[in-house]
Amino acid sequence: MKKKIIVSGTLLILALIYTFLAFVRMPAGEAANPKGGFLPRCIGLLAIAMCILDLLFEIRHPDKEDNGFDIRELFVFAKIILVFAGYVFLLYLLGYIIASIVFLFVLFTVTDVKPFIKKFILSIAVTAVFFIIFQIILNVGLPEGIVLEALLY
Amino acid sequence: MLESVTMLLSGFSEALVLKNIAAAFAGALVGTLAGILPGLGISGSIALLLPLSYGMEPLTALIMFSGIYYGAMYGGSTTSILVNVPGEGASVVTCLQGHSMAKRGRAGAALCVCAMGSFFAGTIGVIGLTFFAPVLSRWALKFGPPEYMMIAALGLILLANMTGKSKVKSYIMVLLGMMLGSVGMDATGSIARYTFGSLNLLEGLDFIIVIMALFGLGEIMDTMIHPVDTSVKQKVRLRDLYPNKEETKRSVCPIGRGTIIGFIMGLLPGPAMSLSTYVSYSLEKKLSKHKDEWDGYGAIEGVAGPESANNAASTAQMIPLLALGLPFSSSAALLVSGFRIHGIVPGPRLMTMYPALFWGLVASMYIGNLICLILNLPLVPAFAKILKVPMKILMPIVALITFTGAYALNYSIFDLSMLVLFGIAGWFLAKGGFSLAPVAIGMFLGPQFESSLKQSLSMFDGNIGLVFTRPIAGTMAVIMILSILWTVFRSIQKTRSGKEDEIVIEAD
Repeated sequence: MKKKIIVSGTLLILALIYTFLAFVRMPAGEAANPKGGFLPRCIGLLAIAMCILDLLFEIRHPDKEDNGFDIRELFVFAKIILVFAGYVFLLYLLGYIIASIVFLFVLFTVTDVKPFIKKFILSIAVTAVFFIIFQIILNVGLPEGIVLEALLY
Repeated sequence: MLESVTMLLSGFSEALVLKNIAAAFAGALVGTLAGILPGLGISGSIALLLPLSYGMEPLTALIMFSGIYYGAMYGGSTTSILVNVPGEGASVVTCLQGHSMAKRGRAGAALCVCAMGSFFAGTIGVIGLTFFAPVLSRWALKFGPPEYMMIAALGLILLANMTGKSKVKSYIMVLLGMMLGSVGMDATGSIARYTFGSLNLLEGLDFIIVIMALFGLGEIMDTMIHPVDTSVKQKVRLRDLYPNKEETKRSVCPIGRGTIIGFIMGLLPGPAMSLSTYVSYSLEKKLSKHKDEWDGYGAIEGVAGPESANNAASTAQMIPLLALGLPFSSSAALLVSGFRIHGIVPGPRLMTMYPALFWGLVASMYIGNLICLILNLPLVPAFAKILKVPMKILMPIVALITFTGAYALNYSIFDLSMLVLFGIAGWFLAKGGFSLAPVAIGMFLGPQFESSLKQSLSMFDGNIGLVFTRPIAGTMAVIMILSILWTVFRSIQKTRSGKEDEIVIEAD
């Protein structure tokens, strides 16, 4: 299926959910005294109308250059997302230094940086530079990770 | 006028303090570097660099943000000319003639004309800011909620009308931005909207995180998936950095015209920086006496005009931003967020409440433009070397900066999960042919629009038609309605003829 149809369809579903919640969970008030649900209802209805228009246009006039998502593209995308999500988890668990070294090393592997020693040194050096800038110079409290916190305190 | 000059002179006494000069230098340098890197764009760059301002005094931080803002405009042309890959949206047009010039060994001349044009346009823009912003500020003090509501609405409509290939897609993105802006407690604080029980969402989605994700992480992912070849084929030597007599002569008028076009367009809501480059390019092509050079040879007018236009537009956009507190582009919205981090709210009262800060900032822009010129002339060969670093090494490093910067904003791991989520969304939306800048504007102006709409409805006792009884708000409402009708009319015409828009305006 075409990329544009998939994305437009997904947006329509999101607009429907948004509008449904605005009508069900939020009071709209009156014209002279609008409440929190007033604008979301208007935005939601407009968004549904626009998304339907867009979807119809994409179905009736499909983009000839749009060949849908290719498997290789989605595979690399999924790998990158997994690395990003894993980094957030590792940051929480092991703290900035270890998580960042692992993060960079894995990303360099995904982007095919060679050889191994170059990836390894780059990961450590870049992490060290950022740690010095953010933690020491800018005094940003970078996460220590729950494991290290448990060991220290 | 005399008062403005006096205040500007006092502003120079603030801006010429060593730490503020250093901040202007750092901002201009970092902005230029960010502008050089393809993909990130101005919005992504400012978002990534906001955390660097922690611990700074407000004026110093604002000077640095502004430096990044106009530094990126200078840097964008370098990549366009040398590698035919625009560093940011407003440099797309520069590729056309700039890279052709580079291929015949005139890269240095093109870069020099860009820097000179940018300096001239930027300086004229700051002079305009010096004299127009106080007038607009005084005028804006008379604005009530209906006027602010209409400015926000007009900004949203015009931006959507002028951005991207499909108007419907742009409107959807504006609405998506407004949806994201509606998350959290509503303006009156009575109900929690779309928080799904999460305490982290009560204060709403962090604008900067969403922008970092959409413009930064989404682009990083795309560059990793589809690596771009940015290896510099042209060697740029210092001695080549001078245009010859003919090139200089042919650049003067385009720089002047580009400056005027950019300045006027920068005062209007919409993607002025990109749009002004297209207008300037078309005008120069029409007026050129060397039409044969526009097809692959490389006409200097096609570099001088658009580059001056985008710099004039970016500086002119500071006028509504500082005087009204309303950003008309996603990068300007990011600047406002940077101001807010330091407790400063741009708007009509900025000049009266913080005169030293306002005039110090304006004065710093004169200095910053000069710094950008100095940086961009002799350091171009050095900047070009950055492009030799392969993207497969650069992008993971930029990803780490993004995550570190995002964490530093609120010290929140939750923000990082939002960053990943919106990074995914940004990538998918871009694949679906959606332009992302309207999301930023919708998310920023949406809450402002909502609160002024509520106030206006209360003022008018529910009768929104009374907006036409107020001259300024009424005029804006008429322009907005005409703009919508024109869009509908054009869309019907195009659907019947089966044609699509000829050019795609990259949003700022």
